[in-house]
Amino acid sequence: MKEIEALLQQDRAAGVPQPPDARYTVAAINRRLGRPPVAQSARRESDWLPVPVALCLTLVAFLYFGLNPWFLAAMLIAALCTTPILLRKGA
Amino acid sequence: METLEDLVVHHQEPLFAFLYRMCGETNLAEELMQETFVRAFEAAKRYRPEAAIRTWLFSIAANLVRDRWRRRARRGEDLPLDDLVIASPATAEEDALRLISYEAVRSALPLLPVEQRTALILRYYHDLSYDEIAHVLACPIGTVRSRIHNGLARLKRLLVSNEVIAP
Repeated sequence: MKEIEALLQQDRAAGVPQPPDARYTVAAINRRLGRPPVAQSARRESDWLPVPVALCLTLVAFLYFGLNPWFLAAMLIAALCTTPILLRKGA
Repeated sequence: METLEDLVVHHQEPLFAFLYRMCGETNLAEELMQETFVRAFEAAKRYRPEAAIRTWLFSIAANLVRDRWRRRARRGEDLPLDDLVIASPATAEEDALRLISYEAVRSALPLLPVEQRTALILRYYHDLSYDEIAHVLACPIGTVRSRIHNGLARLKRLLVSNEVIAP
């Protein structure tokens, strides 16, 4: 048995092929689970992050310059209405 | 419980090595590894922290291999072990191309019965304790010991019959 154990140790030391890249495996698992790819969802989150930041900064600027904050709300509503149209046109 | 990404980054290498040694095929090992992670992710709520994640993943993978082998056996795809032991005598060319010993071990491992193979691989390639192997195989420690003993004996018979080692 010692001889067999030694051969097993040699085989172990020889190693095995490497698995695919972890990102590839994660993408394949997400596909099987029916989930969106991680990179895409992460990008979407970061895409939307500047929007609330910009809104807050604009509100602060409006208040600082003594402008009516309700005007900002009107702009926001206008932006919400035009965004889908602009997106559809690929603007 | 780790996220899926962490789970893959930390555990895919030992899991792939285990499955590769169990199956002897890279593509099948990769497919079963992905399936293991899918099952683990779906069953994450049933995971009990008292068992190490690695042990838990090995246990899912071992079950998948066992199922796959049963399906193959039902379809008659497996070469029975006894037929392999009395394989046709090698020609001079085949002798010249004979694999060196440890590669012969690697080739012989997937021919062992799946329970013995699992126990041997977990013990000798992944340093799992008898207790951990018993957890993976869901059997008593005594059964693990006998599977390892019988697996080694069977492996020796295989290697002797293929003239890799002396009787």
